[in-house]
Amino acid sequence: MVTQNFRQFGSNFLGPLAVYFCEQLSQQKVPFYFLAREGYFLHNIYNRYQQALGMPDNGQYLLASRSFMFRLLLDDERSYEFSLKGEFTGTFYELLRSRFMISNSTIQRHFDKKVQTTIINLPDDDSKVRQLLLSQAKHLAEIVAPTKTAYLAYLNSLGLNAPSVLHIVDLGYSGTIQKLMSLLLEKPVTGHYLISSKPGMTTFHGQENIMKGYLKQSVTMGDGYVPLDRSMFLEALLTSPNGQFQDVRLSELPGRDFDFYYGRKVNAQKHIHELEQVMAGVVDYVVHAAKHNIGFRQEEVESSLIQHMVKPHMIPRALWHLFAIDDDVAGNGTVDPLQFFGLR
Amino acid sequence: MSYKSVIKHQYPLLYAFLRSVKKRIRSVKYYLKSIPTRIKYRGEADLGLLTLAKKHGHFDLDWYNDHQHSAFTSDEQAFADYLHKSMFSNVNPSPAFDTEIYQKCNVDIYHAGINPLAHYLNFGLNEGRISMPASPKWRPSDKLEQQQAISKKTDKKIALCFHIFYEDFIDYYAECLADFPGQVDIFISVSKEGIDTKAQQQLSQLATVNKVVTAIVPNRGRNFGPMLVEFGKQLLNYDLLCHMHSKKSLYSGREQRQWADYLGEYLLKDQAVLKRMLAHFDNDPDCGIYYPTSFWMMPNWVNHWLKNKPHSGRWVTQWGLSLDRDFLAYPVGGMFWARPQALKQLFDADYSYDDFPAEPLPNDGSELHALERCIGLLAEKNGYKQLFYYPPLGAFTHDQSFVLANYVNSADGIANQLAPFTTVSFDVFDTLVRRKYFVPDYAKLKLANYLCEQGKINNPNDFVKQRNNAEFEVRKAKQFIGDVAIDETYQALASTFNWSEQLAAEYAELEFAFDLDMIESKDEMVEIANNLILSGKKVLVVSDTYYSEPQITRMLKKVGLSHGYHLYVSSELGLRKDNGSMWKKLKTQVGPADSFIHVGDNVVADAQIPGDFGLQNMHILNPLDKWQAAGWQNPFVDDGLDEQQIMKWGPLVSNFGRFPFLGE
Repeated sequence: MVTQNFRQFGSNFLGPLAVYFCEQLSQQKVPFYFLAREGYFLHNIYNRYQQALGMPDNGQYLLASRSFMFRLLLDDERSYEFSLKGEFTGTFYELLRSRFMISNSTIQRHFDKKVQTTIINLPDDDSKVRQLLLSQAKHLAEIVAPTKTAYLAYLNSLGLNAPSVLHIVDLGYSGTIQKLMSLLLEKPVTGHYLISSKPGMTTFHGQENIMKGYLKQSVTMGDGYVPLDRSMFLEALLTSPNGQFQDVRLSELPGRDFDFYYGRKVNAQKHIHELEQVMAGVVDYVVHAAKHNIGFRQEEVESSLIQHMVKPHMIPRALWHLFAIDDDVAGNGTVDPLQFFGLR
Repeated sequence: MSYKSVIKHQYPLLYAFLRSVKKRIRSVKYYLKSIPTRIKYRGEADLGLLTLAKKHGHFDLDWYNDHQHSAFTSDEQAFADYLHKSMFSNVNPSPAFDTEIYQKCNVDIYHAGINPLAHYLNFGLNEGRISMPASPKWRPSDKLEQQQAISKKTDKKIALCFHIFYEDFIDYYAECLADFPGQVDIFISVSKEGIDTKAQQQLSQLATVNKVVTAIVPNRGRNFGPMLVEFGKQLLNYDLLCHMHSKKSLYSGREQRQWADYLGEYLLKDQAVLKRMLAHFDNDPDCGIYYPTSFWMMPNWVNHWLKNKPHSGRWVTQWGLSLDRDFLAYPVGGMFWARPQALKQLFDADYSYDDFPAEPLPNDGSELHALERCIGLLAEKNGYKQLFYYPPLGAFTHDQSFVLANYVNSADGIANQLAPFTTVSFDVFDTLVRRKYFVPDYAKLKLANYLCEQGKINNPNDFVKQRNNAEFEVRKAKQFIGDVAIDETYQALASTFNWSEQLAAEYAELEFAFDLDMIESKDEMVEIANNLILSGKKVLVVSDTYYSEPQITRMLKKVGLSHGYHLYVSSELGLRKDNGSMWKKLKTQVGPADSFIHVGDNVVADAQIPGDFGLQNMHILNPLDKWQAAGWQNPFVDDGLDEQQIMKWGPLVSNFGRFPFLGE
């Protein structure tokens, strides 16, 4: 019975959104890379939608995360406008550990005590931190080199080097990973998002990047647009079986190219069998919609999301435990949107 | 012009002085009058109650102030306020005690009019009575806070309309108006001579009252008729009006003074609430009507149209209203504050008493019951908002979802509520079974599509209409007595389409087969029914349906309810729930009424009517009710048989409604 409930909830909560997003993507006729972690199930859903339409799957899942990209580009000053954005108070050691996922031993090996214990207060100390990082550029390049080599090989293995424009898919919202990917690959990237904060074309260090938001554009967190302000609900469910992507290395094992490393698991990953049932419900509905030519209007998707996100009693208790996201980048640990928005 | 008006307009300073003297005298009177109360709380017994409450953690001044938006500075004052309000309102004294739950679980205390907390502390605790920590059943999504300071007095031009049947309400209104935060004109309609004189004498003395206009009126039109016939157009000259009436027997013939007190408190008596309400009208020109949320001891379905939708035609047509949902926010009991302009069409028309139905009126199902339900809709139609007050949180809100606040339950909760009964009956459709695409007529359309593919008919939608019309004609031929079987309908269709008897029977079976194919289980409800059977309870399944007993049996078998129940099917028995004949029969068969309960989703047939027969019932939400309760539009309101709409929304409505309450 509970399994059935999970499927039904999946159809109702994410069904209209998934149909809308799939329909929009399907019309683009380009190969997509679905960014981790939301992209894991999004790709799966999109694939099934395309199948139901009799169209080829033109998408691939791509491992990436903000923290990983911050770390990967630690030796590239151009990335600092993203990686040093947001508030932070603590030592340089703590900054390297939490925001850039550098291990304790690596930090201790490459940085002296004085640098490690320097107190940082972002965003006020932005230039101070930049100076510190630049002064350690050689160490930082050494630290990230094995990762960068492996990641570029991984991207190459997925064919990312082939297209002249890279098309990525994600929930959104400000396109940080998109821009960092553009820096890394030195090619234009078009981001296909459910919601985008800054749509349109921007030239970023010589590359013309485009952002599209299919449900809503030009909104930022806190503007009162509920699907974005409460996007934690979507992020909680649209996750992958693994924790946050943190590192990749060339594998030394025969028959395997890469070893991937992930952060800790949150509830949705610990109970992945339940999450899979929820997603099976989304797939059920998406396939049904594709077969019967069912589409949704923007306001219908918004209404569906908003009621689920603002009212108590809309999410079955049996699923409450799945709603937890790790918010380590912001230093908040695990956040439960139901509790956060007073719906428990 | 009265002497008071002369002084007021020609000697304003003298008038102000006299009023201040009068006010001081009134303050002294109030002080003297309040002595017994204050003595009471200085007395050993009541202080003892406060002490006892505090000892058990059942009274918390800060928590009470916070939840009531009040500013009591002493335990005694706040506790007195709680004791007063908790006699009729669902306010809570602390996080430890839920007044509403105590009253609902111990209805003998409620009916006896005993203070719930006093009873619990003095007796209930030792008796092991059910008591729960405070838990608001509902939280408004937009809890409104005042944007501007609340003025002490309003300068709004205010009319109060009282329809007085019981004389003692004059004393009550006088008490309320003594400190009213503004000046008012009063329009009173009374049922007999003498009451008007008393009202005139008593109310016109009040410093807050400018004038009192009275009329002796016939017993026609209940409370609305006299207001509209006698005073209607005059009311449009005011900024605000308050309509109240002195009904004690306000619901289903049972005297409920608590309900009258509840409405009276939050519409006319509680000065703090009144000031906040008037400030809302001041600050928000779109605020059109105000009333407290529906009385908390009413049945869950009190905000439903019930039998009244068919009686709403006059108002709906005249005012261009849209009736797109069955649950709605309206001033239950017919008492409210309004900006007359928000209800302009109501007051602007010419009325005579003949415009209203003659007494005796049924308990439910009349043009006046419909009018009450149209009040909020009219204000909204005119571009105004409805404002509500929710006592447990002391909150003003525009959020209308309180109308379904009592429909929060869990599967365990349902099972626990049914456990005390020895006989439990269940409705079938949308109670034990649901349809995959929700829409009941979709099976008919599927058959029609099939017949169209076969070249037997030309237009599927026309076929459904003809099929439904044939069913109606059979009912008419049977003079609407008993019920119609699906076979009878298809035999009637046979002549239209030149079918043989056998072919008609095959098509009847095919319609059922299409429906059966789409039948899915309401898992939790089926499990509850099965558990009741296993525990030895007598389980009945009672359905108003054109399907036969074997067909319903097959449907139940498909959803996992195979045996152990007694089936009552209207098409076989010729008895229906919606006309009461089924309940009349069942009442004689199920033993003592308090040992029986019926569970079903139809507010009238499964709840209101068995209630009229003295049978207990549990109303559950059908999928579309629950869908709308969540805040979504009814997707089938324009065309119930648009197949694309059915395919798009049907699975979502059906899934969402699998569990028939919010809060699964």
